[in-house]
Amino acid sequence: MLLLAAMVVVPLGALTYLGVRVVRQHEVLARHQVRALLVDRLREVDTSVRRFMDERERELLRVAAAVPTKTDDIRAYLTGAAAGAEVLVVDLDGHVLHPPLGAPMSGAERDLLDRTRTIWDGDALQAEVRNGRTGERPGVDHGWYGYFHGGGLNLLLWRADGERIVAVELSRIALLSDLIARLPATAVEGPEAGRTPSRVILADEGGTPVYQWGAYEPAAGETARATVPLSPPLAAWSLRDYSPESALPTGLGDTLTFNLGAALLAVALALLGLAFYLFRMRAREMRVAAQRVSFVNQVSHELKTPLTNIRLYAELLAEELDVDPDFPEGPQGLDDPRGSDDPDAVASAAAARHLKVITGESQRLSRLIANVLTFARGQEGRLTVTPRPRVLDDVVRAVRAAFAPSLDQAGVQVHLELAAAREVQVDADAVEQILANLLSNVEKYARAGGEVRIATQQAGDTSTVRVADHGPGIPAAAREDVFLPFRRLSDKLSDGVAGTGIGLDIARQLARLHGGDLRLTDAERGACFVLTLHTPPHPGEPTP
Amino acid sequence: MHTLPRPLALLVVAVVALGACALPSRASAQHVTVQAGLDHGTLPADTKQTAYLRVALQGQQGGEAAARPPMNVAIVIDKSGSMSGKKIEYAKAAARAALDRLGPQDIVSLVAYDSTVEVLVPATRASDRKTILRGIARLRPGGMTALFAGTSKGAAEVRKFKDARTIDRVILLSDGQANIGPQSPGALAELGASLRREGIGVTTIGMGLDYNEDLMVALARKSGGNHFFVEDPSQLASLFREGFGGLASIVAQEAVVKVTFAEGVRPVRALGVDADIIGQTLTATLAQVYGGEREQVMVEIEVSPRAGGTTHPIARVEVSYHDVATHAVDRVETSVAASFSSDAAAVERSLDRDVMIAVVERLAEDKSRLAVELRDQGKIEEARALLRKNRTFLDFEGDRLGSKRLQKLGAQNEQDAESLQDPSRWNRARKAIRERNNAPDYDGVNF
Repeated sequence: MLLLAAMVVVPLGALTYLGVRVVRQHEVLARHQVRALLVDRLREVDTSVRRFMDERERELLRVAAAVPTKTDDIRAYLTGAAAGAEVLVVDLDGHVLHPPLGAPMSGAERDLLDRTRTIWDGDALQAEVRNGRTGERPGVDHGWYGYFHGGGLNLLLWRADGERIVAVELSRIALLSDLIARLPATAVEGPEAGRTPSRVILADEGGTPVYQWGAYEPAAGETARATVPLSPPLAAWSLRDYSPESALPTGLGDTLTFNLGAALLAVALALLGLAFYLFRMRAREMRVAAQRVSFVNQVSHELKTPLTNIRLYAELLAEELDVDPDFPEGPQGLDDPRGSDDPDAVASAAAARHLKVITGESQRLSRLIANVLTFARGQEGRLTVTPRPRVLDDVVRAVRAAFAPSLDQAGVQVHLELAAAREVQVDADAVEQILANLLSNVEKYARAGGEVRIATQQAGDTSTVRVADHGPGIPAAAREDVFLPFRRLSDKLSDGVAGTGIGLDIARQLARLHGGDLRLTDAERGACFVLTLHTPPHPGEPTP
Repeated sequence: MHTLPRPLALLVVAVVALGACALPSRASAQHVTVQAGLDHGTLPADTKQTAYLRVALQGQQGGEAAARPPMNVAIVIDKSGSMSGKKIEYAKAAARAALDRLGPQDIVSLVAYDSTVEVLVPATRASDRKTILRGIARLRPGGMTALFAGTSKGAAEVRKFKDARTIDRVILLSDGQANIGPQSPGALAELGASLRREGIGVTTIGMGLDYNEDLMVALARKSGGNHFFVEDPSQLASLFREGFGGLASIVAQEAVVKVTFAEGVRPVRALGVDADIIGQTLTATLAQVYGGEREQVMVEIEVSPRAGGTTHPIARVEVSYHDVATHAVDRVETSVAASFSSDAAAVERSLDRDVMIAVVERLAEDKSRLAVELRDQGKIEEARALLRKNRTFLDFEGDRLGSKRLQKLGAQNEQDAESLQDPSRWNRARKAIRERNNAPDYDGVNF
């Protein structure tokens, strides 16, 4: 289950991480694009301002070109055709020609002289004209001239001809008012009104907002998302765009996040489906194996009775023939009947040998059936042990005797080191079944080792049986796996070896029911199973 | 607001009665009567003296409503946070009242401003009432006060339909201090002057007690419009109704008064109007002449000593104005002369009472203006002394000239003197003074 969870969670996590990174990058990109868009929008505004300034330039140039020479004519011109214009005229040496210094002047004319003192008192306009003549800006005979007065930038448009320089003032306030008239207002209806609100601020040279539009109200201290200076001659002024954080790239990001979420969900579903499929596969395998056991279980019940009869009659037949079916290879050389001269004896010896095979095979089948039935009881939770007073060594000897024919045939020598001669409470059937399974494994898998060593010990309430073979052994990593049902090790080992794969499972179950355990321990070579059993002494016999 | 009744009949009678000896000269054109004269037609002989010349432009009363030129008006309403509540509702009512006074040929736009400007109704024929009323209904109070921008946008709307025949006005309603964009009285005065050059007047209405009267007065004055102080916003609608009536009565625009003074006469200053004095020539431009109302250009002059029994020319007066009914530029010329006499009684007899009243009023306004300056500098005692002196002066002249108007003005100066100490009373009084000192002597309400 953990593996399955990891199968879903890990790839999903990795995908999420990558997805989030993609969204982040996309957001950064989108932010850049939006900023570029905002800058473009501000540039458009600047373009319309520039167009307006160009118009004003042409207009004022026309005014400047038409300014007459005589004071009275100039005054008439400025109250008539060019009403409202304020004009300063200087000659190329810097003398003021108009307003007439030293002659009677109107208040407006005096004010003009006052605020442009730095211009006509110095050399500013002449310098501009010289720049035009000497090549710094060749061919230029007119231009804007900015000067500071009354706390802000003011502009003059100057135009030079051969004799004089005419400068027409562009009042800062009038300019601003005209600009405001041109610039957008906050939209109240139409397509603009429905858009994401933003605020554009026109800031003067001191950074003070002089005009703004847009429904968005930026917080105090909020930084502009885009700033674009106006084109000259208003380059000291700037346009700034403010928009709410949420209105910008997240619009794109949201879609992306949604897409990512959808993709992740799809992948998660696919992975879950896959995991579920694998889980089902495995469950079916388990079910098939269990069915196999269940089938065998049912069949075993049916087989048990005829098998018992077969064994019974085989033993009866052995008595009639006067052979001991448990000791098939006596010193008489029964397995070589041709060594005898007596035809009867020869026939009898052959019959005895055949009978031994029948007996051995029926015993094997009995064990198999016993295993299946035990396993089935274990599955159903009905497995129990019933200890009775017995000597453990006797049980071991009996098992050894039962396996002698098949082990001999497999060429496996059995060495017994028995030291459990006390009578204790032990379930002999369970111990027999455990040992039978261990020896059956030796016969199946470890016959190449050529020997098996069975040692018993007793200490206090615990009895120990050690079964060590000299076979190929079991890798340390697989030591626990062998106890799982339907588990056999490598194909190499199981090749050609029949079995249900439940022997060690029921052996361990029985050992644990008996208050002990069955473990596989380290051994120099081969496999070494250690069976421990809780064996309290027989109530009648005191513990030594 | 000036509500002093000053029957026209009285003026005419006075002028006619004094005409013979005061040597006034009159010239009449179709819709504007121009009259020029001195405070005394006979001046004392053999002394250098100060005298006052008045050029009065009297608009013809009433007239054919059908012939009235189209009005082209932007109503600009402050919708800053301070306008919330009843004030904005009164402003809406005022806008609707204005709409009632407009005819189908008139153009109106509605601009509202707080931190930014919204053009709620772009310049539209007044006959499209539905659109306009919907725009008025959209008026909702918001943030700061971008007064400069609001006025500029209003002017932009006016420009759309402006032509030689239209009467172009921005009606600005504000209850607060401008705090976005240019916000000094000087800057707004410059804006007014700039709009004036285009022929767009700005009528400013200060509402409540929190607006900047200097700024509102400067903007109105320099643009050729008028300023009104409305403490109680519930009076807005009736003010608009009357004001639009005044606007509709305009008979002439851009009246240029050019006075060329004779030798021995030096123009010192113009009283109550902006005028350019260059050498012997004075030029003043009056933005408009309302029907039934009088515009005046008052000039203080210095006259060189002359021998008794002689008559000398004082000035030649040329007036040109744009007649809004005929779309023609009318020109009127007249001249003013004075006789000189050593007989004090003859001098006294030659008094033009009406001119003298106007002169006294202008002089009193000057003192009142100075008193406001003193109070602004914290010199309360000096301001009070000046206002009391002004009161005495007005009482004296009122009695001498038999002018109730001057007497009432005297009483007002007394009230102003009493208001100096308490800041909130002074705030109200200052707004009233600024309104009074900057309004021509109209009988009605003229936007």
